[in-house]
Amino acid sequence: MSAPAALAQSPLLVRRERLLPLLLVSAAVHAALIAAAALYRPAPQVDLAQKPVMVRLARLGEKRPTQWLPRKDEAAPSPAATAPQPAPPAATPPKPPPAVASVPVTRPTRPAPAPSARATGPAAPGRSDVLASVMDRVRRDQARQEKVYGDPNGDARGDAESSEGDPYLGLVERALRDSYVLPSTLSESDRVRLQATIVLYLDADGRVLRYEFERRSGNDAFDAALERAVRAARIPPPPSDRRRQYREKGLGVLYKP
Amino acid sequence: MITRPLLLLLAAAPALATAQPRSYIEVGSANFRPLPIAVANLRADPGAEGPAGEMTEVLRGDLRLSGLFDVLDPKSFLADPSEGLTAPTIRFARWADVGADGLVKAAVRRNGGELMGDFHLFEVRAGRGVLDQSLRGGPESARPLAHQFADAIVQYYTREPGVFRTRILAMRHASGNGREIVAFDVDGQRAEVLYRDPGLILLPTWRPDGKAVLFTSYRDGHPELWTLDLATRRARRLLAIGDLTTGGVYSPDGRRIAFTASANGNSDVWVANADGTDPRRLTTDPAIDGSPTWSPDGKRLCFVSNRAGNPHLYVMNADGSGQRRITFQGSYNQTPRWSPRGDLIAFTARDERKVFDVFAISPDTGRIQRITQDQGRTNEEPTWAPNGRMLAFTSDRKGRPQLVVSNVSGDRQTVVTAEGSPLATPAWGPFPQ
Repeated sequence: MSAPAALAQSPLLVRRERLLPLLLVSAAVHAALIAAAALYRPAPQVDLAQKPVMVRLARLGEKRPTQWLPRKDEAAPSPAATAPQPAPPAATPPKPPPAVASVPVTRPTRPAPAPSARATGPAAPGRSDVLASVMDRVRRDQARQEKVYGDPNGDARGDAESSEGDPYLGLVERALRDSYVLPSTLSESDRVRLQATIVLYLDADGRVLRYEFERRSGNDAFDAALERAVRAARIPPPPSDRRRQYREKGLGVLYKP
Repeated sequence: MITRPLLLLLAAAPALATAQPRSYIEVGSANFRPLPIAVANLRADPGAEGPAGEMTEVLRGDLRLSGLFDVLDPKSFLADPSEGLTAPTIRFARWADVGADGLVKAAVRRNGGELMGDFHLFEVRAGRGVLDQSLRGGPESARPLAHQFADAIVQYYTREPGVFRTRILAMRHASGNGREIVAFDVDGQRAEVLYRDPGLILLPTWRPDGKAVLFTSYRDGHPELWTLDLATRRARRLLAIGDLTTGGVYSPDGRRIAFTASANGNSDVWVANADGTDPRRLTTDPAIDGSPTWSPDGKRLCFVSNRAGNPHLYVMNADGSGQRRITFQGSYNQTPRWSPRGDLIAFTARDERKVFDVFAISPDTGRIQRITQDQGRTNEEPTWAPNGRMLAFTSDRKGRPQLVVSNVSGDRQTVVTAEGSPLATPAWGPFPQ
């Protein structure tokens, strides 16, 4: 049988009413594939070789002989830190809230240390110079904190002078960063190397319905800290047009120390 | 016929719309800090007030000592002291207001001759309980029970075992003559004399199973290796080579020992089976070699040698091959101890002011970090906690040498003992088995 004859007897041509739907389906599939390719944005590429650039400015002074043992840059721990156990903490002022003070529940306590510090007033005669200098520094820091620059249209929860990128994701990043606490005993090499990706599924109020590791770091302590950070985060409600997306597809978070 | 596929396409349109890719954001700049944790005064049933108070202090002390936690001052607490012990009855906002991320609560009671405690750990921000343990022990078990829950808290947060049920050995002068091996809790309490010798004994080290101690004894006039069975408290001579055998350490698998011996007037590093058989010399340099310590995989040894003129640290394979110098700073580096994590070797070094301080070196990079500085004239003989996150050493910063527990960076150091007599050559024990 010749090729044209075979083509003429093809079931598709013999029953032409079936040809059009198949062509339409094929066209739709191709259109969907092209649309998916156009809309596809790959997940952020993780570069394991990337290392933070350490910057240090040498102070003016004599060069320390290289054969000498190193000295610590920071001052030695205060005597209170070396007090025998179980020595009760000295009469220190109430501990100020940690750096996560932007979480609403801790915000009211933020000014608490300030009045007590202010109440001590300027260095009284007879007070040590050290204490006076500390008080001066506290006052300078407070003066700096009182002046906050931002945007007239900015958000009360923002922490930058100008916005960049998606405003909602900026708030999410801020909320996650606030609760992002890692144990200070994590080794230096781990701080450079570790990263993990978690997918958060959010409800309309921003609560984390569930989360899953898309990629673990391999370090249990780090991964556990991320889980705590996710559970502790107070994420703002997503915009109405994205609620379904964050509930069903989730929001990926790449954590790096 | 034509409309059917079009309808199918229309039906699939919403699915295609939600098929948009997932968004990703990057979160960095983590807050590296000890976790703020509040330990509420443990609630006591009548008759258990004393143990409850002791457990409260032990828990706070342990968590502070770990370097992982910032234990909040109880004077700052805002919560009602009579608040409940279950999540629904706790006003977490009150604890959040004082900055607590973690909250420890417990109730202690006596039941016959037993002491019982129901311990709870809460995550304040999440407002829920995350760890509950009911522990019981003898009437005097307040400290062990508190240590046990402190370990559980560390385990919860780090996924690594805590070390508060381990013990630290040290040598001290016995009242009268001789010396004794004393075991302390990690917080320096509960001193227990394990062995007393009328002569000079020193350099105790643990067998990895925690059931025996290897030490050096001068009972017969010259240093020899002896072992102490901790179950029977009986000591026996293990090994004596030439006129000096000292500084014995078990390999991590407990099958071999490395030690310093002088068979022909020259001090070298040797290894032998754990029962003292088959001793073999690993170093042959005419210089003084000694103070070996095993790498955690048992494949390498670090030791001290003055073959370059001054005592410096060297590393070699466990068969004696591949010897290389690793310290090039300082002029008197000694008492190396390899971290159980393998990443650091702690040692004592004399700096340019003739002050002895504790340092740690990465055997891979050669980078040295300082752990003590300007804290007395002598900080020496470091020993690692079995999790490699803390170390202990002796320090004269408060007068006579006492035990100090520190984190690896050295920014959290605590003098844990206040003994009348000086302490020497501490050795941190293994996890309890």
